[in-house]
Amino acid sequence: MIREAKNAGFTDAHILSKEAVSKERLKLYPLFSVEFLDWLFAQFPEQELPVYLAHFRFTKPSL
Amino acid sequence: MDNPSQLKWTAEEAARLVRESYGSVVPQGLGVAESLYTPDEIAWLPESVTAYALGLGNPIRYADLQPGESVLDVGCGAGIDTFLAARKVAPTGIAIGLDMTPEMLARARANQKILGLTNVEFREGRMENIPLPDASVDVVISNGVLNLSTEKGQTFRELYRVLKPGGRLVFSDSVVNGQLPRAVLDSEAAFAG
Repeated sequence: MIREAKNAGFTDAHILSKEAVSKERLKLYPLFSVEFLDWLFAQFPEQELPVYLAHFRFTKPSL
Repeated sequence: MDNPSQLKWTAEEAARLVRESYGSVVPQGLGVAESLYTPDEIAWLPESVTAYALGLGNPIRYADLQPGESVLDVGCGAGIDTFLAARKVAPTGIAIGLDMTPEMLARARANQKILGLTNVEFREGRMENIPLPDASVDVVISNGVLNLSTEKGQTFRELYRVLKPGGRLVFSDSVVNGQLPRAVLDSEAAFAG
């Protein structure tokens, strides 16, 4: 993500927040069934996804 | 997914998958909206907006939007972040919502009528080919959408193109720490969700 942004010309990259993803959080989303989430978390040791949710900020340089 | 070369779908197949998933989604209450936004932020929005909150974060909170600014919301869905942005940049600023899913755009436009907001517009299109002129917006926001593109290089070039010099891109998304198992990479639900 950051690589593609910098390749496009963006500068001043900041990660503004970062948090782990929990099954309880994903259960809120209608796109995921409980069965799918059970399967997904079972793919990983200790049932923890190697995924985090983050906010990013990039700047387009001024002229 | 941060490495498109690992995915089994072409760009068009991935877009179709996302469009079908989000076009047919049925809300399950307000849990997502309540987990991402404060009551003060969303109390003024009808359930036809908040029930379709499907983002991963709250980019408005970090975007520092000011009155008079122009904002593009990429992957706006039914419009929750677009409407929040419109309120921040009012009265002279404008919020533009972009989405490729016809059903979501229809909801967004209906929601705009319900809210009576005049500094909002919605456009249909792909983030890989944004229907806006060069250097036309002050801010681009997005909420859990950019990872749905399998052409991120092209997407970021488009985001860069439409921003004015000095403009900012503020977005939320998921990031993978390491490699995902093949079974997860090949899962349509994991990709589109």
